[in-house]
Amino acid sequence: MIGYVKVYKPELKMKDFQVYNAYYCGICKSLGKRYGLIYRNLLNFDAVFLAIALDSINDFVCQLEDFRCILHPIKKKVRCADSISIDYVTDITVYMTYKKLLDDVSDDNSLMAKIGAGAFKGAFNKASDELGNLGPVIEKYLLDLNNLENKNSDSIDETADCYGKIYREIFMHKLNKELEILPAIEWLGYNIGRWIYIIDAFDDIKSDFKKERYNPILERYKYNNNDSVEIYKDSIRDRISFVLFAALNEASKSYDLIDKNVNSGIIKNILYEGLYSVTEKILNGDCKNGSEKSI
Amino acid sequence: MAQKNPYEILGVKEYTSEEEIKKAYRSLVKQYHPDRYTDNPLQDLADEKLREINQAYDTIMSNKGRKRSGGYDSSQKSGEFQHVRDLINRRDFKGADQILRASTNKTSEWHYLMGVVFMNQGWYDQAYSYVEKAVNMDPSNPEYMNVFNQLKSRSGNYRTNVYNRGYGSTGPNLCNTCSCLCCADTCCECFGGDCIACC
Repeated sequence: MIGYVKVYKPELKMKDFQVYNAYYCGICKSLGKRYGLIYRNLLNFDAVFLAIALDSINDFVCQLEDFRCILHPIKKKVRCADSISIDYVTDITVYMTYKKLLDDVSDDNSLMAKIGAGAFKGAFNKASDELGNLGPVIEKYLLDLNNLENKNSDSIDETADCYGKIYREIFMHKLNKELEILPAIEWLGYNIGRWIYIIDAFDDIKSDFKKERYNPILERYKYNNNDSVEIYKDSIRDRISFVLFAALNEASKSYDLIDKNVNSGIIKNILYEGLYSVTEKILNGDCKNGSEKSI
Repeated sequence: MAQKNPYEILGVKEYTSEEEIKKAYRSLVKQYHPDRYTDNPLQDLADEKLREINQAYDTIMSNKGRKRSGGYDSSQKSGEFQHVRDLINRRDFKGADQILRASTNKTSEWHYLMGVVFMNQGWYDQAYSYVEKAVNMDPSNPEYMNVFNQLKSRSGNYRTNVYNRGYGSTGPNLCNTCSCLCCADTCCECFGGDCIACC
């Protein structure tokens, strides 16, 4: 859960924007209530997308209610009161954040990450309990990914595959396995996961190179030390953009097949305009663009 | 002479919509029309060019019309990997993958089929590499070329959809505003008024 899956606001309808914000606030509230105030910081756009998509797939229309937010006491806010997906997404967010912290600890032994991971342990255990048998499944794919990273795999596909599978499982976990559109949902989740992994890798090229951390793109397309990072990025941009847009093409085609009405305005906005604009921005060198910023 | 990419000839991208391709085609035909080159030493060249353009246009249009993207044509076959092709047609990609990996005969067809398997698995980077290799090994094979173009158009289709949904459009421009005004004026005139006297 890194926060790349955003809406494209200029093309989002006001009514959709309200619902989007309501989910955003709903998840924030759930994080605060079920895990503790400090955990509200984990709120990110990927989680909001996940909740909105899962409700859409379940044909679930959530009720909006007014409330007052501690962080914005003056303004009246609207939140999604009864979504069936929000608590689930909250658990996923806590689970994945903890795993990411552990990863950071093993990557560069960062003290902050160590402290964070220590403090997180309790919340992680709770999330892990809530998620039941999904936990071990995610664990397995993360382990596969870890093994590939440790042997410096030069296959973007193989590494992204692990992440794609994690997202696929996250999408599927709560669904009825008899569902006719299940293959389309699997394919949607898988391709979103792949896209997230690769866009993150591209975004991190510079810092990973500096800190000599593993990055699948740097392994796949060898970096010539004499060139600047910009020249390197120019040389691989076409190939990476093919891989990213191919994944987005498949994801949006899958959602067309899923063909739901609930929240579809928001989801199509994200799949077509939102992810497109993020991809273009990152491919064209906008550095880390405060992806976790609140609305 | 190496065969040129039909898209390059028309100066369009793989993901360009059919409308746009037609437009590009028409303007090129106008540009190289024999009427413009009568009594001109370049007539032969223009004829040649026009032939090339027509051919490219036909190729693209027949590709577009034919089958769904990522699909794969079983009508052209050669014996060697027929079994693999059958498996792919039955969408048994695991089985196809196993046989291909066990094979030592790494021909252009082998690379091509590997690419098809990878594409259906969602491994776009490998798929691209394998099909590209197949095309390089056997540039005259229309099947490989066709699938390679389709593959590239996957990301292109997505972009076309994004643009069709209005991404990046800046709202009404000056031209639209003028034509709106003219229309409004015409309506007005029907009812007896006239805001813009000159039209």
